[in-house]
Amino acid sequence: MQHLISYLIFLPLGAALLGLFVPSDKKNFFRLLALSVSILQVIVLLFIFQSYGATDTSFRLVEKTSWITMDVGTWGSFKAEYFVGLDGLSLSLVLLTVLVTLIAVIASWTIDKQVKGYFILFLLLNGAVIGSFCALDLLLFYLFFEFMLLPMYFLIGIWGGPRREYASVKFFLYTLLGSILILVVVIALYVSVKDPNGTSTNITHTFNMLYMRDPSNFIEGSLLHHTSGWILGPFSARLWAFLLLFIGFAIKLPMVPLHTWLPDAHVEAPTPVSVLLAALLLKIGGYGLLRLAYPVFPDGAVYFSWLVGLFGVISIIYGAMNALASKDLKRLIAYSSVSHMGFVLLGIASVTVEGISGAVYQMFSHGIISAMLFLLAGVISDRTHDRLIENYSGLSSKMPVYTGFIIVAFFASLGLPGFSGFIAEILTLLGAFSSQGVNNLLPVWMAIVATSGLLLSAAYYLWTIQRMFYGRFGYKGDNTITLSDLDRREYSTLLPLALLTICFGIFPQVLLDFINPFAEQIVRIVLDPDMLNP
Amino acid sequence: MTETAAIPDHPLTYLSFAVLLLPLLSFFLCHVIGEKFSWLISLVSTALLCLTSLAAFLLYQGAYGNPESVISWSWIKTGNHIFEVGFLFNDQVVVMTLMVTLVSALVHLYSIGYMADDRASKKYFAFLGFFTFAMLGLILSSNLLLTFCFWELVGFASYRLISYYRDQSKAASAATKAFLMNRVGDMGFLVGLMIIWSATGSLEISQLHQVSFPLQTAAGLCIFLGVMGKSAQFPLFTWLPDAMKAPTPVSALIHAATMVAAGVYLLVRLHFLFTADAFVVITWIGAITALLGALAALFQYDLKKILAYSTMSQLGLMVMAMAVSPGASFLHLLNHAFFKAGLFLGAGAIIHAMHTAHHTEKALDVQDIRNMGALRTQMPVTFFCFAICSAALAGLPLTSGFVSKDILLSHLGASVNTLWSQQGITMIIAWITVFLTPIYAFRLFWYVFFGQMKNDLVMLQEAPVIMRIPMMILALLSLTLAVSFAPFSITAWASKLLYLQTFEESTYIPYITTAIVILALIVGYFLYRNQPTRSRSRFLTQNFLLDSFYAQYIIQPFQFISGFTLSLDKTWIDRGIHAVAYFQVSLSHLAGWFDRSVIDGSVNLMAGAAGRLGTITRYLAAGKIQTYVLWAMLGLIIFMIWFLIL
Amino acid sequence: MGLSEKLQWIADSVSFLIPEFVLILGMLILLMTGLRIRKNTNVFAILAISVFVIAGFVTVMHWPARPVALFNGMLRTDDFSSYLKLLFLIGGILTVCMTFFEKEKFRSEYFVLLTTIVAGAHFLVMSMNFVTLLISLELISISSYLLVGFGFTKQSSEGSLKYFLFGSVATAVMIYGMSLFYGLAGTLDFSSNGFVGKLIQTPSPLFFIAGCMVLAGFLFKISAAPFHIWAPDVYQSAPVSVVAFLSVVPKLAGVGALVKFILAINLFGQSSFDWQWVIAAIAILSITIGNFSALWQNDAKRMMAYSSIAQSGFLLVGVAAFTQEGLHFLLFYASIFLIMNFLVFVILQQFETGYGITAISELAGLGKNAQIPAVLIVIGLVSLTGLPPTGGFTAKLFIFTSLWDSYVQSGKTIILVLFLVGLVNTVVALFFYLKIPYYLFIKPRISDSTISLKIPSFSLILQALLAMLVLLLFFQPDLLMGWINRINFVL
Repeated sequence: MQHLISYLIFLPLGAALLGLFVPSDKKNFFRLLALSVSILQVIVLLFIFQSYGATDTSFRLVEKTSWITMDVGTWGSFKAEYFVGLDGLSLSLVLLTVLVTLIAVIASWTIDKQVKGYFILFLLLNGAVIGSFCALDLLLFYLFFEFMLLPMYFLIGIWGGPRREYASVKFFLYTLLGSILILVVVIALYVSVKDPNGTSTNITHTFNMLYMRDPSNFIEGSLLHHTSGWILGPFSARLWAFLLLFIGFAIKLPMVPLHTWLPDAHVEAPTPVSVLLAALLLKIGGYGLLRLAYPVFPDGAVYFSWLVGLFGVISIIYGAMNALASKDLKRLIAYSSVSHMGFVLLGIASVTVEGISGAVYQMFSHGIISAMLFLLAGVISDRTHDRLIENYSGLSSKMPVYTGFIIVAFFASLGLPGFSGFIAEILTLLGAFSSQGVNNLLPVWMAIVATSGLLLSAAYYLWTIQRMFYGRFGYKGDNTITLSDLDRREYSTLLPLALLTICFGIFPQVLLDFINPFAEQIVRIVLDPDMLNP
Repeated sequence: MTETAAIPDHPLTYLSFAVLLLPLLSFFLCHVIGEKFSWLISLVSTALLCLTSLAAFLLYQGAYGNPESVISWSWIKTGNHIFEVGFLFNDQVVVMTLMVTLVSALVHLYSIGYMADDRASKKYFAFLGFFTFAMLGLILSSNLLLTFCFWELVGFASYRLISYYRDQSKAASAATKAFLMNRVGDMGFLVGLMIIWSATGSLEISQLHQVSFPLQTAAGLCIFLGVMGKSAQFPLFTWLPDAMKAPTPVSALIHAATMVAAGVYLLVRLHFLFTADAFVVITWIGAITALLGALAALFQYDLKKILAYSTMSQLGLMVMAMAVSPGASFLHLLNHAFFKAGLFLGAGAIIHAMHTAHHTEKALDVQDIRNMGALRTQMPVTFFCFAICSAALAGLPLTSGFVSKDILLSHLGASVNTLWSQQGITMIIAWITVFLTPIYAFRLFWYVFFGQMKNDLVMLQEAPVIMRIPMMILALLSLTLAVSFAPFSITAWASKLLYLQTFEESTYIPYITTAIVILALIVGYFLYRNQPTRSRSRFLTQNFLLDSFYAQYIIQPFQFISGFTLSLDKTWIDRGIHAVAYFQVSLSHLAGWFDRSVIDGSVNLMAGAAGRLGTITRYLAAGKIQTYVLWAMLGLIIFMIWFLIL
Repeated sequence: MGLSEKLQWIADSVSFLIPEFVLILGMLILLMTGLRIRKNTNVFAILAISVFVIAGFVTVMHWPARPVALFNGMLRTDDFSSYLKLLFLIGGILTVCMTFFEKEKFRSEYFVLLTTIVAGAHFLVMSMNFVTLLISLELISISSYLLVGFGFTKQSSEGSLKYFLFGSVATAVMIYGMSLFYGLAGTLDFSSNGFVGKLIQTPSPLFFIAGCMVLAGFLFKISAAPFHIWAPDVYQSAPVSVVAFLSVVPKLAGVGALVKFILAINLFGQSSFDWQWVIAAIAILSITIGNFSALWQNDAKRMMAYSSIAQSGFLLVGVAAFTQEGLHFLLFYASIFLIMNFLVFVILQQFETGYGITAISELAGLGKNAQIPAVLIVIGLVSLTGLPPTGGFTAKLFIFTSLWDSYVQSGKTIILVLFLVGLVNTVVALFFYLKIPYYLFIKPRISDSTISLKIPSFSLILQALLAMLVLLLFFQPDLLMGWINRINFVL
């Protein structure tokens, strides 16, 4: 099986192109198109797993074809490739993407406004996300990374809620700012990295991310070379580069205090879009840190680990606090995402195998759980267009199945053992705690403070259940609406997710077998002393 | 899961799997069985639980007396660390398993009657099964991480069962409270695990024997925080009285016999892990809890709350004896499980009867002992069972409670050197508790079964057979026969089997205890013979005002802070973002100002002029181009000067 | 040298000027036919196109292998200028194509003027001497003044007048600067060693002032700050096709000449004044002013005017790098700019002629009525912003790369500032560029005019073609760069 990854990436893009030429009144065509693409992706993914083989750190199914190679006179030549491949990190996130997209398509079935445009953008987004998870060439990665922006902007802006325009613009401002910071580093990187296979007379400037990991590929005298004495303010060029990357990806993650685009975007976005946003787009941040920032700038990773960890802890607590105070169900869930992504940051910051495995696992599990949470929030707001918690009470008597799923999702999200969230958080915490003893990067108190995040999350979820679902039934709103229980479509979107989170909570090794080698490799790269000063 | 094969295919493996999974099976079956066979549910789950206890008995047969053995599989592998899951067998484990399965089975049996007229009993039985599964997992697990998992799952089951009457908002809030307070403890537990793991690199209980590592005291105390949450120790006990909102059989199973005992059980299992310093704290906490529980029980009028507080006080006793004799505590734990379960089932029978008696008027509080009286005539069986169990609680001779309490006290006594030492004072507290226990037991008993009959209780019915049988069995189990044949001797098989460390058998303590109990009963009689109905101060009746303390000094501040952070988000950070936007706007206005004011302004002026006669002279007369050129030149000159001076 | 030699020289030189002669010939033919055929038909347009095509063909045929000085150093053909010439011709062709979609046919003079400007641009990028420079500049300017007036409405004549008056002042300043140079260097041939040597020997502030004054002329042509002020009014008033033309061809010509001039007065880096600093400062100024002023424009053409100010700022970035690659990337940027700018203008023209819409806010909800143009304009705008997957991104990436490189070499702070300002401005730019799609797709239609626009299929093809090019040049920039890289630029 050749080019499996390319199938994965270009199926949706091709489908989108095809969709352009179909008249917009054939609504079901577009729905079925998107659905079939997702199903095909699942099949392709099965092939990928089948041919992935043993688990070590090397990249699998690599496809490498020259894309741009041109000679730029004395300055050397400029080389970008179509270079994609999978390792444990990419694979787990691609798996997540394919699953969640399938669910999101089913959830999108009820969208009836400008169906054509919606599904075309949806497919573009799908392709872009998978692409950015597979790209090993920095330019390619940046292409897909940026390419997610516009579809998302329109998906929120056109199909969103009342304040959608503000939300979409805010989303755009933040993310674009982030991507500009990243762009600075991208330019700086490929200017200062050379292809080791290139001739000495004519330097080949490459975007190959794997070359960038090797310090010996940095051109002598370039700003990002380890020996460059370039200092701006307190930091050297490499530290600045790491910092820019960190901020750029932290915006996507999102990290407090760069998170305020998230609640607005979520509250305004239509349900399937918030599912994609929470489950996939947030992960790009963590992915970028692990794929680019940490391996390429290990010195920065070590230097700033304390800061990264601190912001992780702040995000955990701060997000939980805000969730505790929010009155809008979707906003609450959005803030809980902030809190949970804080664990990712904390895990990454503690450069330990447990910590990083936990962080990746958290990305995966949060992907599933948050998808579930937003679908559930969507259910109620589809019924009543009213997400205010205080307006409901005793829903469990009217909507028992819905309540059941709510309880599963909430407890999964607050890290009850048996759900995937627990594995992720326990690993992250163990890693963060042991960090002081192992590599002396994070102080112990961070892990301890982070633990209280679990308590807070329990607080806001249980309080919500108590207010919305128990007690006598009541709905402050127009009483003509009948609060019907889940219909078959909603059920079919929620059940698989519930099963997945339980399955990955009980058999974590299924995924950890893929993640661990990657985690060990990152730890090796970052903590390897001669990586720091060759 | 790959088998690391400590014992490849040992019959115990299958047995323990049977023990663990049968209740889970009942959980699933309850969900699978459809509406129209719902009557099946209770029977099926009960049958399954009986099977479970049978398996547990076989397990007991197979493993009892053998040296400790472990069967485990690797669960999580990260880097060079492996977290295992598996079973650990030793005497305490199998005995505890037997106890739990037995009580659970009995409670299931009882529930058939108790929940007979409840439509939604499906969920009830489901979660009884799930709870049993989790509890057994907690008992059998060989790895602290796994223990923690089941530890939390047990809490979850209790949450679902407390909130079983879902249309009562009180029940819901009680459930939330219970889970959160447990979670507070669990966070401590988790931190403890982190300390142990990062110090020793393993969470295998069997590997933690005789290890010593830095921060061991801290680790011990963190784990004990978890115990405080689960076993309702001071100051985390306030959830237990509220948890009485659960159906009474649930209270019997979870909040008397098993779950709350899990903390004590954990202390017994991890006894080797705690340092002397840690035990000082543990002893004191236990002592305080024992005393407070007894005091609170003395002034309650709610039938179930009295029992809840007495549970708390008994758990306190066990915890405070942990330092000197885990075995004794464990023995008391077993006995307490039986007689307290019996008491709760009795209480359940009474409440059930009261309900059916006057379901007409809802006004009457069917749990208030002041509304009862002279029930012995209508409910003789309940009366006798209740009598035996309260006797065991009070520690009268010939009951199991007497034996275990004696062992416990003797150990405490043995550890006392001088009265004014820590041991001495805790000893005294223990005595006081032992003195108070019969008083509140008697009070409860007296109010419920004696005194003059309330006129509206005439048509009260005895509980159905299916509810009587479990009560009787439990009453039987709380007779001393179950534990020892020599009432006044504590060297009975129960004590030997639990490896109590040998100590000179103090002959005087049993007599002292008996004396105290008798005295207490007399005092109780004179205090309560005419059933005074005035209630005492809020301090004694309402958790020593701890709830309001929490509300005022913990919950409110948190709510305030969270509100603050949200506003911070809304106002400040966003305001920052907007500021950027506004900055842009203003800058663009600045740039556009020239555009608008000078150019557009003059354009309009021009248009007016040109409208009349569009001649060039007018254009120039309007002074537009001049301004234009002026600006440009100015720009150029400023630029040049700026540079030249630079 | 003797007369015969001079004549010989001229004779030789003429053979290098065939494209220009083609253009002038075409101009004359257009004029003639215009005198014969009074009514406005497409004949002129087709004629003009054929002229441009032939000229382009000839240019490619006579691609200069090496730089050749003509007319005693008055002009010089080299591949740099030839490449630019091609761009001018393409621009001319596209403009003529756009005239097909204007509401009413243009008179023949319109096309005459177009050809004149293109010819002028040719000469401008070839000229190595202040005199030829001035003449060709004026040739462009005067014809553009007239061209702007071609709407024959009050605003357009008003605009053309403004343009003229302002332009004349700029020219005056420029001439003054030139005279100063003549005084300082004693020659008008700024490529000659004499010029350079003299200036190196006698550094004086006058040199700087003269330089700035001459620059002023260029800045006016390329509408860069602080000489941008005319642009918005002129753009707003002129017909779309004219605006499209003016915002590309004269601008690129100006940049081409500016490069030669600035490299000349940089005196091989021995200049006592840091011209790199000056250019960088101008670039910063233009980018910032252009973008920020564009933010709150509602008139599409006016917004595009400010955007083009910013774009010339970006073009100057390529100059500011002061490196060989910088100039290569400048050419790449110029080509992309030509394409994406025309793409946007063609579609804006559709909206203006089809719906009579000039204000952006009136575009609200048109995305559904005119889907294809709406989608294509998004591509164009994204490219102007400089986001992937469009050529605009690649161009910006290249041009900033060279800037970064020159920063690494020179370590001048101003370059770093320019670098950051440029990138941050991308965010700002996005806001106003995105305003059009925002209104097209997100805003609901206010006036329920459900007239579905009947777009001439030829225009659609043109749009699609341009959009394809924009995308293609992202995915395969080396198609173009491979060619550009063969250009080696020497003064």
